[in-house]
This record gives sequence, C-alpha cells and structure tokens, in this order.
Amino acid sequence: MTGGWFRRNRWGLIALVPVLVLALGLQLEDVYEVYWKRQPREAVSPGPDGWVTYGDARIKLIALGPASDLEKYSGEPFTPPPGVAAWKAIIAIEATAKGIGACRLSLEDDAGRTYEASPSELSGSRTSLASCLPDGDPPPTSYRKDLYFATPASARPVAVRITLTLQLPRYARLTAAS
Amino acid sequence: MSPEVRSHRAPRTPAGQCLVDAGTRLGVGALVIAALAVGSVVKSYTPDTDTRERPFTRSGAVGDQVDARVFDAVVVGVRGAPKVTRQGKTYDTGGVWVLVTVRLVAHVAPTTVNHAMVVDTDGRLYKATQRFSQPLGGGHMLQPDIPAQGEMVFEVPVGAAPGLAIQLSSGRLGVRMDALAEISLGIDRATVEGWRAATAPAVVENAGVGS
Repeated sequence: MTGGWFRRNRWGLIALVPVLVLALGLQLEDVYEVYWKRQPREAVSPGPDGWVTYGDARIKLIALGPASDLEKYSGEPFTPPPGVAAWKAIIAIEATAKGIGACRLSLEDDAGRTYEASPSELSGSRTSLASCLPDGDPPPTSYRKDLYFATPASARPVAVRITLTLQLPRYARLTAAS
Repeated sequence: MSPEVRSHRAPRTPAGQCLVDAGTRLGVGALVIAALAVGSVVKSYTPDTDTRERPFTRSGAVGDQVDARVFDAVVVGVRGAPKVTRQGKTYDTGGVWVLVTVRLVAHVAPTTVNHAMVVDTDGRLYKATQRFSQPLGGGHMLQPDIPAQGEMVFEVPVGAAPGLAIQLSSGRLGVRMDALAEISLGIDRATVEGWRAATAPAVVENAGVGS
C-alpha cells in the first residue's frame, strides 16, 4: 500500500466516515427505542389543582391511605397476611370519548419501590381487578376507580403511577394536591 | 501533417512490467486468502452465540440466599414422592416427583419468575410440571420485600433426580444475558429411593407470604 493507493481511494475513505457515523447512529436509535423508550422513565406530575393530563385523559388522586374497608366474600373483615399492609387509592378519571385504554397501575413508596395493584397477597378479599377502564354501558367519560395495593408493613406510599404503553417513556405520577 | 498510423493496437507492455503486474495481483489474492484464513481461525476459537449470550449464573445450596438480579431466591426445603395430590386430585408418574419449597423476594419492582426449571448432572432441563396449576405459577407477581413462599413441582426420570439443581430467572424471553439463580438441591440416590418407597402421595402446599 502506497500514497498512490490512498490518493486513488480518497473519496471512498472520506465517504466511510459519515457511513460509520450513520451506522452507529442507527444503533443508538435502536437502543433508545428498545431499552429507554419502553420503560416508564419520565414522570408527568400534577398541576396545582392536582390533575394530570396524560394520554387522552385527565387524572387526579382523590385519596391514598390504609385500606380499612377490606372484607372477605363472606362479609367478614379481611386481614392482610402478617407483615403486609394494605393500601387503598381512589383516582378520578376524565377521559375523552376515545377512552383512556388499558393501563398499568402501581404504587410508589418513599424508598422508590413500586407495587402492582390487585396483588395476590390480598386474594380472598372482595376487591375488583384494578383497571383504568370505566364500568357501565355506555361507559361514562368521568368516573372514579378504587385501587388496592399490598406493601411491607414498614413501607410509606407517596404516589400512584399510571402507565399507558403508547405513552412510554412518560407515566403519570399522581400525588395528593398540595 | 500528422504521422501515418501503422496500428490501432496499444504498444506492447514490456515483459518486466507484465511480471510486476502479475506479482501485484498474486499478492492481493494471497492477502485476501490470508484474511479469510485468519477470519476462519478467529471464528473457530471465539464463543458461539449460545456461549456468548449465556446467563450470568449465581450458584448456591439449600438455605443460601441467591441474588437473581431483580429478586432473591432461597430454597427452603426439598421433598419427593411417587405421587402428588393437588387440589384434591392425585397424579402418578413413571419417574419421581420433586417438590422444591422456595422463598422469593422481589428487590424494588414487581416481577415474575418466568424461568423455573431443574437441571440434571447431564445438563438436561425439566420445566415445572404443567399437569396441574403450580402454587407459584400463572405469572405469580412478586411484590418488593414481601416474601412469597411456595412449592415448585417437577416430574423427572428417577435417574435424573440425584444431583438436580433448580434454576430461577425473571427472563421473559429466555435467560440469555440475564441473571440465573442455580441452586443445588442436595439430592442423592438414597434420598430418591426413599421417596420412591413412600406410599402416601405428597400434598402440594399452596403459596403464601413467607417469613
């Protein structure tokens, strides 16, 4: 290989630089799509009135506290297993006619841990499966949903998270209005 | 006046120049062949896809807490029987049933154990039985720091039971490049013979919150 070879192939070598940059750029795009965008990473927080605009809906956390109204199907009070605390969240949803769609609901504690709604630790209690979808036919566009969670007894919940797959990496982080 | 054209052929290349050109072509060809040979040698000595993307195995024994990246696993106990009863129905086998009691704790986010198998000393894998519902099956969701304890039930050939280890992972699409807890169950041949001699079926216990 001599200086003549570089002279003959100079345009090919110059073109190689943007091609390599483009190839790496496409890989980065793939990394963003697969590893970043598909996870809930960007919290959408409520405004001063407590409402969060997320997807095709407005959502508000009405209440979050210990679940004291749990009962078995027999009507007797339901007690969570030892070391487990049960929590109830009430959220209000105002959806457009299009509806909010299926979502993932979770509880966040002060240590950053998250807990799925309708856990197996509360099975045996009379609670409906957690969902963002309205009940009734025709479905109302303004409604409330009761959500139940289980945490270790020492956990301190701070927020309810709502995640819609099509909105990722954004998720609604509902906290009580200040 | 232009000179008379005697021939339209290119002037003959001197013999020496021909040799140089041939040598250059031969050299380039030899380089290509050498590059292909080196590539082939490198490929034959580098790991294949299965090896390159193998899971990160964390090993342990009965009673050890093993970190499987998003959850911790402890094998609390192991038992076996020639028959098991689950939800009032008894199941026979030509091999032996192995019932492994595990305690699982998610770290910071809800997760499911999507890979639950036992592996024998020859590397053969056996999935948790699907002949009945598993106490910790059906996508049982582990909540952070709430221990879930229950039995996982495997049906294996008698000869495969000694030396079995349980594998647990959260990997949804297999265990490639993911953490894999592999816990030796401490089963020997005498233990298996004792299990096979049992007459009463082992009743599979329901899962619950562990201590």
